[in-house]
Amino acid sequence: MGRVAIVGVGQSVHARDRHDVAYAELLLEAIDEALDDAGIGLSDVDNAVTASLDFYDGRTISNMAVAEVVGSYLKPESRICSDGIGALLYGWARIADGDHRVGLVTAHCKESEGNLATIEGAAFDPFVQRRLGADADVVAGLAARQIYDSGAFAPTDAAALVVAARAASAVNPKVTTLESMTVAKVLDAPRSATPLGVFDRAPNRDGSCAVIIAAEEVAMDLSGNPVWIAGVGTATGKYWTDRHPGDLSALDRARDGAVAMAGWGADVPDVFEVSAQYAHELCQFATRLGADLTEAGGNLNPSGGRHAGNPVTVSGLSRVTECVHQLRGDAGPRQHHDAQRALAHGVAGLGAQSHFVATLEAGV
Amino acid sequence: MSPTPPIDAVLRLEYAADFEYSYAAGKFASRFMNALRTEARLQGTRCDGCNKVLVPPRPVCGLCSGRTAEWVDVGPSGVITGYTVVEVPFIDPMTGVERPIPYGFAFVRLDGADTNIYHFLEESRHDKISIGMRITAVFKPAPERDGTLADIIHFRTE
Amino acid sequence: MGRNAAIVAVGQTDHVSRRLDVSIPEMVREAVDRCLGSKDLNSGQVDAVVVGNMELFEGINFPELWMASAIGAAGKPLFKLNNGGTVGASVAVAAAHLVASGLYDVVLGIGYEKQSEGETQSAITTVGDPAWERSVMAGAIGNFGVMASTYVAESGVTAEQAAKVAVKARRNACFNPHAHLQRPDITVEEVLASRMLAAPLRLLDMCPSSDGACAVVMAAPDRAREMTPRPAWVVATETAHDTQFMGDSPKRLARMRSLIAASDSVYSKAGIVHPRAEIDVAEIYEPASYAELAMYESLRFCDWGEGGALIDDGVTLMDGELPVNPSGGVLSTNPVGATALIRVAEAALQVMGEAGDHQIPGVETALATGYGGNAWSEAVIVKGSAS
Repeated sequence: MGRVAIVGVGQSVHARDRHDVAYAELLLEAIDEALDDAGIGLSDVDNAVTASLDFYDGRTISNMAVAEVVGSYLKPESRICSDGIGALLYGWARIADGDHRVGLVTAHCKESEGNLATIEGAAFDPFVQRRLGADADVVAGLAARQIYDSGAFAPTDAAALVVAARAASAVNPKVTTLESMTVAKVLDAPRSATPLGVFDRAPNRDGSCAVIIAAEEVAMDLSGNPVWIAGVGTATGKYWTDRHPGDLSALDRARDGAVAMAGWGADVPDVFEVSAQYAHELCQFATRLGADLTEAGGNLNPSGGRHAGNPVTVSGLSRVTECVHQLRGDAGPRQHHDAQRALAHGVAGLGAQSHFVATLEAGV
Repeated sequence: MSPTPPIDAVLRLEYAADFEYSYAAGKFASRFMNALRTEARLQGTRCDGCNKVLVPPRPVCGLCSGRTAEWVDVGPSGVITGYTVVEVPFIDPMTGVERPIPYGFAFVRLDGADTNIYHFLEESRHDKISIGMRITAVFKPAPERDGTLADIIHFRTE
Repeated sequence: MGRNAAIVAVGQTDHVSRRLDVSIPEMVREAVDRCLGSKDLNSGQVDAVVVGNMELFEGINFPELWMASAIGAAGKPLFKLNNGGTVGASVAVAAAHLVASGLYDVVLGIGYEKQSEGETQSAITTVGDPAWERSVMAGAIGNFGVMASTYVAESGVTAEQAAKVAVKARRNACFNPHAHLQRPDITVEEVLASRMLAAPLRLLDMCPSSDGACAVVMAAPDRAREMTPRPAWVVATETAHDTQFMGDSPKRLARMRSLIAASDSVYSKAGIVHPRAEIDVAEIYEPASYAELAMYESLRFCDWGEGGALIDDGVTLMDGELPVNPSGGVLSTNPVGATALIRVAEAALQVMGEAGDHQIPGVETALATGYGGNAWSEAVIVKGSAS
């Protein structure tokens, strides 16, 4: 299979309410930036893979509305209804097998437009659980209780990550700067589903992200600074009621697949960008992936991660985008010294059922 | 009370949810809808690349991936490019009310536009409608217009 | 493509209006079991699973995650696609790319819809753009009526010719045990006398609404040869979209520009110059009788305006030169999320020689298409040999 590189990235500004734009217009902001970054036009793209969810868009076959902004007239576009790294994986396959040369991978979501309780509620088993009226916070609360009681992490660990993410929002120009927080403030905040408080959940956001990928020969022509997709991996665990929240085997398989493809062995990436909707999940996932959660370690989520403000579905590609900036050395005040390898992670489903990992490398 | 079903009966469970959304119409739709509501004016955007006038207006021309910055007036008259007379009941998704049948439904190419919009016809007799027939928009009175395509009641023969 | 992928196994439920006896996961599991069971395979041999469905139809968000264990996907890569009526073909295309790229050796593709369990018609109205289309919609029927009118005006095709397609579909379906509408005695007169829905479309010109699921196993070359003596090799795939709004395409059915683009691409990739002569059987996504005739033209089975003559001459009948939809097609069976995958699966069955009573003799090359979204098209060519 041929090598595939990322040659352009772009994001909209992610904010609480983007009432100023329809979702296709929101996505266009990211696509324009990514095309500009790659130095190509929309007509140079030969296929698109999008990530979005009908329930959030409030429309069946909602990718109809992005046909023009992704340039799919008489061209292929396919949609992954999950995290954007799933779309990146499929986009990678379409180029790696030699069928395409330049791909546009996108994700968009407006968490502001629908009723989140209804949308998240529709992911519950319709026979048994849906009638109980639980929501994603309840599932996360049940999980957090088990995780904290097991002694693996303490609420203070999770709160520290929230504090760090909110601080990072100030140096990430693509997210709204959040009020700074202390561990004590996070722990003292009103509870949503004990032991979780309102800051444990990533803030609801509207936003989009776009990534341009290309076959090796195209990438070498286009960019003096391509970032290589060294590996991709994904796995889905059992439905949340059938799985202990401490069971991270799907995450392990997603990571193992992407790391094995990259041939990294036991080497630790320089930067980790990890997605999680809830802070205790971020503790779990980042630790399992091998990131250093201590402030001194500092290799986790220079972008701030989802707790700095990215919507569901888009988060994985936002993680990839930050990794690309880190590996190109153009991450500005967030730059990690000499990052050569980065791992980006995305997640989807109630109780974090599906995991996606991309391993990325700098240089030619 | 209905009789108790046997223990091995396969059940159907009813579930209803209110899927409420508040859609941002976006920059292009907002400008169009505001002009329709306040001035009964119909507009499209012209593509910089291929010069086609697109209705509904939109930021990117799908045909050539050009940008469409220029706003131009279209209609209110046009031509029928395809039509039917609907004879099956259909619940209007915006009002929840069943629309009386039969009614004419057509592709309308507004004067000055290169694309069609779907809309209703005043005429509901199939043999009185034809492709190529000229029609014109009948607008709701200004106070009743709320900035949707339904501010055009239907199109009638010119 | 890199290495070839091949379809080695196919399974379907028996499609009906209402599957009251099974839940959604049970129904999908049935198709998966039939698929794997047809070649004595098991879930352990599957590396990854791709699912197609329109989740708003049944009102279940992330349905694939709910049924992950039921379909043998727990612990594996699991992808969910949603591309409207095309989605079943999108599943096949995705499975082919995932295998061809070398990432996975064996991929299970699934499509399903349990239309009886949700308000499909209400959900379909949300297909309309909320700002532009929803306030002036007339349902799928109104849309198709207008589309058919453009084709009638352009080609002069008659109601009798369209009715012949409706008759062909329901008669062919009698030879397919999985088909929903099986009507051995249906006549052209009966179609022409059926209730007018939206001129020129009558009740029997339209596809039904079905509950059903379809599954296929796609495998890398070595694995495919181990699994079955005559795999159906996926030699070409293509996806082509139209633009955003239903009114954008000037001639809709009369010139289906996305289908022209998709089919021209797969013909070129598969080295097909004369489709009518070189394709042995086609399974196409025809949501209405008129659409099938229009698609003959856009697929270049005949010249422009000759679609009606093709059915008059019997070319596309089961024993004709180029049989179209020996399975009974969409006019007989339509569980939306499965429908386009059924086309691919039926094309594969024909190539594998496993289509049973609706087998066309000696099929080497078969075409399958998907149609949906706003005039989106997908095309797949499967062959009996890899090159």
